Amino acid sequence: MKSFLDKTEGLANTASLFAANVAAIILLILVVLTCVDVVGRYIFTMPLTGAVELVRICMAGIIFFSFPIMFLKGDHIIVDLFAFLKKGYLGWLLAVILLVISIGVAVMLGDRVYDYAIRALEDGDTTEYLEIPRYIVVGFITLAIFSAAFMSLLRLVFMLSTPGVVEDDSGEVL
Amino acid sequence: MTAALIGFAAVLLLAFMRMPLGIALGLVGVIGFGELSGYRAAMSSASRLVIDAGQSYGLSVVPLFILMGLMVERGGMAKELYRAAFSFLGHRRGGLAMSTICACGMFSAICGSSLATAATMSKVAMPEMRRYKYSDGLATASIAAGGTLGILIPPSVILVIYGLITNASVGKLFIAGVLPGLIGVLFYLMAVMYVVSRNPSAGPAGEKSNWKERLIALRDVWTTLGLFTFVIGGIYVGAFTPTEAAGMGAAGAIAIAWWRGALSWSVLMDVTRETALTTAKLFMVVFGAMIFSNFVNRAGLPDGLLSIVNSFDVSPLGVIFIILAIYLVLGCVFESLSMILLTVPIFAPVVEALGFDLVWFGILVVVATEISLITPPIGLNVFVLKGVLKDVPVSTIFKGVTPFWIADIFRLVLLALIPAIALFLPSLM
Repeated sequence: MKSFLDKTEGLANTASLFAANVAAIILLILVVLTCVDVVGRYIFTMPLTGAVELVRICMAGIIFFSFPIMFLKGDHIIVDLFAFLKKGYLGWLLAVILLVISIGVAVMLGDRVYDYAIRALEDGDTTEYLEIPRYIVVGFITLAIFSAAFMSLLRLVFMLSTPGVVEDDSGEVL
Repeated sequence: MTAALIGFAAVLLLAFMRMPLGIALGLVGVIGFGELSGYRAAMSSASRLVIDAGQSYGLSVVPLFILMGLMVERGGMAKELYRAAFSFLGHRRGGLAMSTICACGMFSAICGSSLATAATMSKVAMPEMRRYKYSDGLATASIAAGGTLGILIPPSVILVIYGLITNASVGKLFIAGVLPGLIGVLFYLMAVMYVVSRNPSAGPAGEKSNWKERLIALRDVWTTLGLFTFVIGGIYVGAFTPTEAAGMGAAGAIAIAWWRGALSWSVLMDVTRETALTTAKLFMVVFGAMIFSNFVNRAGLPDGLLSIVNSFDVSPLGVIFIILAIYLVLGCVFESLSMILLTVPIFAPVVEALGFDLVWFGILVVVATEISLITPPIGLNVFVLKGVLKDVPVSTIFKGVTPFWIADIFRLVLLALIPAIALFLPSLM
């Protein structure tokens, strides 16, 4: 059982790191995109067609490709005021309960976003200038939210396999 | 209004129980909205918000400015900024602490994060101040306080998010932050002078640099200052939108880091990955805050607050001071972003209805937030320093920070009483 969990954790780490690298590359594309648009507009009086739409798509890529690693590591913005709530069995129990709630929230949200993706597909909804089908981006957001739920589920399984042990986002045992 | 107050209490409870802030805000927002208008409508509205905010053009400045700041940090530019400030101020009593404040101010001009400014400057300035036998209190306090300038002097991630919540112009907010930021530097310098006038041994004078050394030090920082002038000047003269300026700034920071030999492919990937992850973390909270804000508005909290304010015989400026007092209290337990996302959706409509300018209010909120970064018990800049300087007790840093904290309160009152300090430059745009 332990070796299976270790292998699963290794796979999840690799997959989430791959997604994080894709987010990083999209960020670099965003930098290039804005520069090309500005330089094109001021030097060649030829702005990039659909730059705003591409920037919006890049934003979705940067945020949602980072979701798997964020949820797998539990690397969120947290109000870290009471140290006793993150250690020992109490910290472990709280972390388990909060993970269950987080998974529920993500699944419900993903389900509703999925409805919007289907609606965009059925309506043939596209972006204004580049006519990129909107269902692709909304579908990707759905996938990212479900993958966040899945990564949280894995985190929950790893936690349940080590009762009383709480790790921070760097993997250090608290 | 009662529903909104219960919701607010629920968010605080969940947040203190270490639930990720974005999830706590979103969950309470959906449940609250669901109870008032039905769960189907609540989920539809929440998912629509996530889809739209996740593709926001206006918020694309956030990753770009974070990238610019991280690149500047990795590029080692902080050391040169410090050396330039030292060459002019180092020979005075308390001069190294003054140099730290000025270097923090300059570093803030290219990095929109207070925590990054404090963390970076602690590595650069602290060894020098120890070499000159500065007291730990003054040395650490000048870094912690100087670091707070990061979120006021543009570019500032917090101002971008404030702009998104209130629909205030991000360009105007950036420009409005310039003069209050400079006044912040001036007041901090006065705080250093006050400390060394009472205890000269806290900040001995360093060596005096000649003009040749000063010119050499200035030559080393021209790229950094040029980048700031290009980015913020571009916004000021209307050449760039904030997003375009941020893109050009990020590209400029990458180019400078490469030119200085500080950039390899692995460093670039490391920094961009960190930027993307930080962006995602911020956006999780933004999503939650927008969902919660929807619920709060639906529950009528801003209107309720406004009618309470009108029922009391308090002047509009009195209301502003009450709000600022609330920020100072909340600052004791909340970090900056959480505090702004939780409170601005509630206070901004009230402030606007009282006839105040939201750009001016944004600057007040950010200065109040800056104060929270050095306020006990959780002043985050203090703990960032504690993380880097493990041998200095937290109590020493908080004690040393007191004169700077008082200087900040003076600045906040001054900005509240004279709105022109913040609004003069934007009025010329």
